[in-house]
Amino acid sequence: MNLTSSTLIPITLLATISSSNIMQYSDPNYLIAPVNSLTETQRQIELKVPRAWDQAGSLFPELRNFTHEERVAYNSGLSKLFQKTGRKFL
Amino acid sequence: MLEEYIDFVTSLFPCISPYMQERAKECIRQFYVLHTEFPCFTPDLIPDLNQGDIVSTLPFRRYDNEGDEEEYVTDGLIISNSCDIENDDQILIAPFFPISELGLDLKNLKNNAYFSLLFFPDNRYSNHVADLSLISPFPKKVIQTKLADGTIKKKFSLNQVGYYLLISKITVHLLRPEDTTVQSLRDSKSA
Repeated sequence: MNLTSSTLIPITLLATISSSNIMQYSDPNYLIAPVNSLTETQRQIELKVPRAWDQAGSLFPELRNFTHEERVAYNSGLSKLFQKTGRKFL
Repeated sequence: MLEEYIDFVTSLFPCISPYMQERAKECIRQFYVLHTEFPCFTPDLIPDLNQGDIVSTLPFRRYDNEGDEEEYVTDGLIISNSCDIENDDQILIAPFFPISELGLDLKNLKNNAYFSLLFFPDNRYSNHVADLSLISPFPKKVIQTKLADGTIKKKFSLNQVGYYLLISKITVHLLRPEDTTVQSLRDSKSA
C-alpha cells in the first residue's frame, strides 16, 4: 500500500501495529502485562497510540461527526461550489 | 491532558521548543474561552513547499453520487510531510471552502467541532475551512512550475501553533479508534 505521505505513515504505522486492540491499551492493567513477542521499541510505540488519539482529541472538546441535517446542508453547499467537468466515472 | 499531548508531540517532533509548547497551549485555551484569534501563520513565508503551506487556486476534483466528475478551484492546504514533498512526485493537498457557503453553524466550524474540517483561528484566513476528507494528489513539478511563473501563489506557512492544530486534526480525523464491532470482526478473522 502506498500511503504517499509520510505524515500519515508514522501514525498509521502505529495504528497498524495496535489499533485493533486500542481499547485494551486504555486499561492500566496493560502496563504490567508481559508482551514478550514485542521489542522494547514496539512496546513504547504501542503505549503511545491511545495517548495520541486521546490527547489530540483534547484540543477539540466538542469534536463530533456531522448530524444528518448538517451533512445534507454541507453536501448542498459543496454541490453549489463544484462544477461538472463533463467526465463520468469509468 | 493538553499538557500531556504537547509533551507527546514534542517526543515526536523534538525540534519544537518548550516555549512554543506553552505558547500553543495558552493560545488554544484562550481561543476556546475568549474566542480570541491568534497567529497560526508565520509573518514571512517559509521557502519551498512544506507541510501546512496554503497554496492558491488549485483545481480540486471529485465525483458526485451519479458518477459525474466535478471541479472546484480553490486554495489548498498541503498535507504531505515536508520530507516527502522533497522526494515524491505527488503532493497531497486538502481543499479550502468558504465558510459562508457551507450552511453550517459558525461556532461549530470555528471550534473545530467536526472531524473532517480544519479551521485556523487566525484573522488573516478565518473565512475558510479545509476539508480533510477531500485530500487529492497534485503533481509536484506542475505546482512548482506554476508557483515560479506566478500562476498560483503560496499564501501562508504554518507557525508552530498552526502546525499543532494541523497534526492534531489529522490524528483525530484519520486515526480515531474503530467501532468495537469492526474490531471484533478483525479479531475473529485474524484467528
